[in-house]
Amino acid sequence: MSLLHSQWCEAVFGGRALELAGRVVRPDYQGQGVATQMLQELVQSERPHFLTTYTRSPKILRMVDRVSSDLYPIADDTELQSLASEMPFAHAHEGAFYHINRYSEYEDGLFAGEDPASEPFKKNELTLKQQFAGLMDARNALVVAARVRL
Amino acid sequence: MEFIKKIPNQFTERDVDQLSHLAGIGFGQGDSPAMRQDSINHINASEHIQLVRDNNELVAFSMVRSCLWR
Repeated sequence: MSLLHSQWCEAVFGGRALELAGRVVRPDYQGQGVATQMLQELVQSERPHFLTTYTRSPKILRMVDRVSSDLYPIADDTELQSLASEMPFAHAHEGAFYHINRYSEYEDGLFAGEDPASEPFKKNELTLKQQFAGLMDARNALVVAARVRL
Repeated sequence: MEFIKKIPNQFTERDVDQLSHLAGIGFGQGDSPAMRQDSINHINASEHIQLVRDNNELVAFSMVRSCLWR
């Protein structure tokens, strides 16, 4: 299996993956489902088989999880693991893939203030940093791959 | 709220200003040169960008790239 970044893949065979390359909701609009609505519109219009992203935020993981049947590396999945491994800059470390130094242009990481990786994916579970050791460095991002729910 | 989809070459200077400003708010970086350049790089690397406006102000965005897994 291999991953091609492509401008022309809409009409091509194979599983189509969309990379969520960056997203922000203004703080006073958070919690209103705006990000999920954007993602649902994207999934409905583009019909991807897979979603990928680089993140340190459990909120992003939960958002992707809402439209997915399987989410790696939260759950083991051989195909999704392979997809994550093919993402640009993916570096294997202790059972997950990371983009090392993804946020290197920011001295203390992309997120000034509180690091979202200090929160868990689900309540009362380990924080993302505890779960995925590569996130201990604030400049690193977790590589995420999901199978879109049909 | 108004949901809009744009491709990078449809972006105006105002769109770039609004998006990089919102990114600066979202990541707590403020209107730094690094955040603006990072935003421009991400816009140019995207196939399309979803924008959400309310009262003519940008309140959310999402950048998307396609790839083929085979």
